[in-house]
Amino acid sequence: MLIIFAYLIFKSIVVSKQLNIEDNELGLIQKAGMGDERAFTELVRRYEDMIYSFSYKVCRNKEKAEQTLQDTFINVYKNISSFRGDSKFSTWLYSIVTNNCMMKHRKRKLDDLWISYDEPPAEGMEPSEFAAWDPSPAELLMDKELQEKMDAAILKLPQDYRVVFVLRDIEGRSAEETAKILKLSVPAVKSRLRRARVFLRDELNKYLTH
Amino acid sequence: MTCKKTYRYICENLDANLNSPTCIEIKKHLDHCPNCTAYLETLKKTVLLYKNQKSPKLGKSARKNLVLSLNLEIPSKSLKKSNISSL
Ligand SMILES: [Zn+2]
Repeated sequence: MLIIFAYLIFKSIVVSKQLNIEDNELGLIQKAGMGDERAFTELVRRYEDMIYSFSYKVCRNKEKAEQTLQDTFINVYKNISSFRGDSKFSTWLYSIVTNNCMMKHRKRKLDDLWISYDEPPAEGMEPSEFAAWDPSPAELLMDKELQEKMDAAILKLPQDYRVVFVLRDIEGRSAEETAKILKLSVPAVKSRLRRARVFLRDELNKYLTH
Repeated sequence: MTCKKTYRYICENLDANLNSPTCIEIKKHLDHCPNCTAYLETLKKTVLLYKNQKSPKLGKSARKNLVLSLNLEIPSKSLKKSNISSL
């Protein structure tokens, strides 16, 4: 009985702490929207690492990630008063970062070809002989050359697919949130994710099984 | 369940819960199809590799440049250096 009581007290403290953080954030956003520099500074401090890391994972280039970080916060500053809280603040931020990434990216002819087949033809999808990749991921990640291959492979993906892969599989966002961030339907997110995974797997396979 | 169907399904849901009727059928297929099993493993490893790949941290100079760019771009409400330098 005592244990249950202690647990309930503990849980209510945890929940109220979480609520406090969220309340606190909404307050900060509102203050920043009214031009409060301290509040805006606090938001920069809270989110700069997340934004830089996400930008880097998409661009695979430090300078571009840095530039995206700057552009994102300038856009946040200019538009924060229009944030209504209908979505999570991080969802809103991700969509600004994504727009900034997209604007820096020059479309290649190849990209349009990918987009025009959002649903790939079923033919040519038949799996043939597959060899396993023996080393564990931890061991594989020690291989410098593989790291380079991984960067090269993800950069070969059209940006619209790369962003879906980074949001879903690296950042761990749900299909629904990813759809919201990218203004896509959930089935489109799933289809792009599937193609991105298969493409990356095939690219790494060339290196790992030869 | 054919290899093609299995292939398509495992591409779609890498970490699906294998208790639904479709999944049980796929599980049966995977049990005796080394080809699809190997494929699933490499697909899972691909995701894990990217997930665990280290990316650079935001450095001191990049933080400084962020502050400078914000001060340049937002001159009307220029961020006070004292606020930002504590970042
Ligand atoms: Zn099979």
